[in-house]
Amino acid sequence: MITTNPNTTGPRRGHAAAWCLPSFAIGTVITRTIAALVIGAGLLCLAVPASAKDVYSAGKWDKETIDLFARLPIQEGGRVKPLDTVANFKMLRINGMRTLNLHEKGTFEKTIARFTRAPLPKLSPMEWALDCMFFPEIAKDYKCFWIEDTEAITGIGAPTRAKRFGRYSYNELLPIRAKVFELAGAYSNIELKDRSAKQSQILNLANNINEFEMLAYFLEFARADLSIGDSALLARMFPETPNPTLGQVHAKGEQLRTSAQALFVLKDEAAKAGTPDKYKAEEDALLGFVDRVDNANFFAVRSMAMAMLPPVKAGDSEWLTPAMLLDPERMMSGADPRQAAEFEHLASLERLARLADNPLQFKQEAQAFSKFVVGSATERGEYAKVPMEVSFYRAKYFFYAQWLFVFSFVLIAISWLRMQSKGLRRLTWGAVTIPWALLVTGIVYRCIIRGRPPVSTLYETILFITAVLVFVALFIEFLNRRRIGISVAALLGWFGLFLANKYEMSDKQDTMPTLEAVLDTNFWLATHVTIINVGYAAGMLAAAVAHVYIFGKLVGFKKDQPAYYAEITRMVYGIMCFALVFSLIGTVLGGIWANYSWGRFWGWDPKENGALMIVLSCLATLHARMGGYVRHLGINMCAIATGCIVAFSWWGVNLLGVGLHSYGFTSGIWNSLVVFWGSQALMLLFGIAIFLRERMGKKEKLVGKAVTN
Amino acid sequence: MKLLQAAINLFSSYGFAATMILFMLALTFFGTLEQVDHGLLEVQRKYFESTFLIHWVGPVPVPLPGGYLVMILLSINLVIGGLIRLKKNWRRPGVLIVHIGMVVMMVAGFVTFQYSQRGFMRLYETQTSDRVLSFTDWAIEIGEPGTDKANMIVPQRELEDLEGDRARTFYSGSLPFDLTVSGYAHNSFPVKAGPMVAESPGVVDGYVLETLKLDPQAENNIAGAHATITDKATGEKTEAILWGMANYPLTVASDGKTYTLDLTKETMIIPFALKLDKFTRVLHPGTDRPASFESEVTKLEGESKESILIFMNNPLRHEGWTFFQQSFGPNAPALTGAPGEFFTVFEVVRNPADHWPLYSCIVISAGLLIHFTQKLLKYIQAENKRRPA
Repeated sequence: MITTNPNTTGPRRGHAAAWCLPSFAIGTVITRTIAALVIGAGLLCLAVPASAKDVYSAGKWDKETIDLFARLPIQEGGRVKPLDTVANFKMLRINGMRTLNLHEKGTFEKTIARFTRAPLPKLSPMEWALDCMFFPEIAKDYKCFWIEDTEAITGIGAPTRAKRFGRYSYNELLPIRAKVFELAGAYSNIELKDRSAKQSQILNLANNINEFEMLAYFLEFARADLSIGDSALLARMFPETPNPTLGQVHAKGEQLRTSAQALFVLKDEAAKAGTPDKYKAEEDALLGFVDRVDNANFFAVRSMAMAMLPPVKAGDSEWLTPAMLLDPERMMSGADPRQAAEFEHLASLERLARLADNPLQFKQEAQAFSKFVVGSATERGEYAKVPMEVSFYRAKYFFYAQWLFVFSFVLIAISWLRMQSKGLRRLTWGAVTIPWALLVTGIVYRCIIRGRPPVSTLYETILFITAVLVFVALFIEFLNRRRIGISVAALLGWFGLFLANKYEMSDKQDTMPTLEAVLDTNFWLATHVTIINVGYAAGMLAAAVAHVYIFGKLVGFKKDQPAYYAEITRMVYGIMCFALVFSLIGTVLGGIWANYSWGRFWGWDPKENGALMIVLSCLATLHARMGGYVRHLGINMCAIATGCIVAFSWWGVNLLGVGLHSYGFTSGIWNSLVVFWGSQALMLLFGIAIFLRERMGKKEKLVGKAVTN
Repeated sequence: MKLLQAAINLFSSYGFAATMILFMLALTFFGTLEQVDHGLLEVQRKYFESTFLIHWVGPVPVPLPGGYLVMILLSINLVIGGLIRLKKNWRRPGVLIVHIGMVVMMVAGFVTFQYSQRGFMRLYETQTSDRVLSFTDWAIEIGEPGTDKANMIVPQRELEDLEGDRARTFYSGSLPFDLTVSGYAHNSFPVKAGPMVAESPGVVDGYVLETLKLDPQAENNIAGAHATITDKATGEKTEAILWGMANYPLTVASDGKTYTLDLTKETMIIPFALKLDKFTRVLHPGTDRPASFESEVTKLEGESKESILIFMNNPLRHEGWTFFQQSFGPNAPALTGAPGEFFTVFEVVRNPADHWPLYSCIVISAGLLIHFTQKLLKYIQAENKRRPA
């Protein structure tokens, strides 16, 4: 078995502790190798080397410490959120995923680990963030910079990788850092739509390097050596410690200035008295100290990554970063006495940085710091939803719902073979309802955390539309029990959550951002936005059910049962009516909102036009049906075309980069959209083929009849 | 008579309705895509306010009916087919109600298009104004310094065809001079005349007006024109360049008086004034993104004064005019000499059909709900019959 670290009281890694890490890693590898031998993996396992760079850091932070930091409130992007959320999205941006695999030994060792069930050395976002903050020198060796196309950086001197993609450590990127920033400066002047993939990648990398440095150097000022040496003056000023923190120095800035002035007066007097060297040692010690403080001040300026310190002054809404408190220009005039409490919080943070090598004291200090910050945030009424957000992300509602939908679809597929089994039928209902309930729970959780209706961002539209799709599909199943609604519900449930996950992974931004001023109205978000999204959902559902019709006809499924296809058409027609009701009401409500916000009902804005196009498409289909111009196949093809229009309205107009709905812009999904439209065009071609085939069949029948007669 | 009946049959048919709806769909789609390159205003005029147009799909011209024509034809179809000829019975009351709502909306759209006025008012704190400026249209105003009233206003519709050498002279009995305008440019910038153009007719005091490509955001275009002022008494001519962003109006002395000529956004004067008492911008903490912005104003009307707060989604409505909190500025640090740190911008609208879309929405919603609830109940009944109990 793998021996995990027995000490569970706190972090066990640090500059000194790191020396023991290679031996630990070697031990791990040997254990795995032996296990692999036992299961017959062969002597080749011995070939797995363990270099000095092998750093096995997972599990070094005990659960309690991780929890403590995860629930720390931070103000970022205009709202107070847990450090856990900040770490999650930082890691996602830099690393491309929310787990950092520390092993670089390729798939072979992973395979062995699978056999031996040994845990692979992985870091969670919180562990990684803590490593970056408290052990930056080790974190700089983590291969956490995800590069999609390594050619973009190997050309400027980065080490090559065996594959086209790969991960790099900060230390590996350090030699090309200056070049990356130089190129990024030039590329940032190119408009987004004109940038090549390589240019975008360099810009991303520059941002990621900057973000990593902000995290790794966040507490560098606190670790700075500010020893007072032999200075009696400084010893009197800092009687409690021979190595004060920068915060302590800033707090006594004014005293430092007056003492230094007094020293220089004494020195002048001594010089006049013929003993110029009397205060030289003191002066040298003081000047050396000031040099060290200057150096620490330089790092303090960079400690602006996280606003961790709640303001104590009533009415202040902005939380403080260490950089805001440690203003070098204000240092000599002394800290603002009104900020004494904030300096106390800062001192605790500084102590934490210095105690990283001492697990026990570190944990005690972390508890004290957490108590400070959580207490202040609670008093300000800003903490209540922080633990809730941590629980929300840890519960992974959408992740589990996604895979449960896959499971339910498999179950439904089995039930197609045993249509009469009541038990299986009930089981499939449960199998789809559970992930749907998880999805709805996740959405409700988000509503409570944000204090908003379910939809106010593009990401939330995916979740909400998926929930509505599944609900409506299940409702149809409830009405007609033809196994079509429930099948579509499971499939679309999985696909919707897959899309949500893909969007989150590509956007890499907090999914609960603060809103633009114009969106700050729960009434219109709850009415117009919600209703229009129900319309989108219905449009998509109609298209999805229409696929069943086209596929079925194409492969000749139940070709002797026209009633089956007539039923599908009835479903599609009903859903399109539903789509029309919600799209039309939602669009008109949007116009009324615009009339109240901007003074015009209709402005031909792309997003408005998109919604109108859905309405027009549904209207055209219903009128064509009433006029007898489209029947079964035609209605299904119209539904597929309407699905394409919904995709254009939902995502496509956001790519245009024009219009008043600028808060909804996104990029990077053009390829996915083109693939979707291409697939739908193919379905329409199939539809035309079916039409021609049926027409020819009818002609042949007529000819046959004529010949018989 | 047969022809009339055939026309009525055609205009009231489902096929005609579906065709017009599809045309509208195509126009909306093309008009949306075209906004990327040509901006909203140009697209609106070409696709949605026209009777016919040519849309280019690559090198292929596609003739299409314009949005204005399509909407008129749809309205005709709606009235004849959807109201007059529709079978009126209790089995389908929803459809009739929906169509009535649609007619109200179409009428609202027509009234808004024909009769609404819109512009903006920009105020720094303590400033008072009763003037609303157009977003896109320019005018030449001639007046006397110190007075509010203009002696002559030349609106954009009289200017926009005066491109190149084409000129038009404007006369007014209240002015001692005539004004001839030529070389009107929708978007322009005055530049120093190089050696190649130094002697050309457009050069004034070493400067010439350069015509720029139209900005897709029509509000960003700055008009310019070449003006010739001819003194009625002496026949003396004065050449000048009028430019929309000039710091000061052009001054002309004639008949012992001084006059100002200003190329400025077209102005509407409203029957009351607004004074900005205080502008407040609240940022999301720790960011530079506005969480909200609001303007405390005093409405001045005769002797009466009323304090009002205008903010996003909460406009001021008075005497048919509506003031919306649109934006604020400047985005960059305030200019030296600016009257304050920020100015507020109100979008000002006068629309006789202001609330009509809301009424139509209520009617349409009711109609749709009635119709499709009936359909759903019918479907459920059929399914219940089909399935054994």
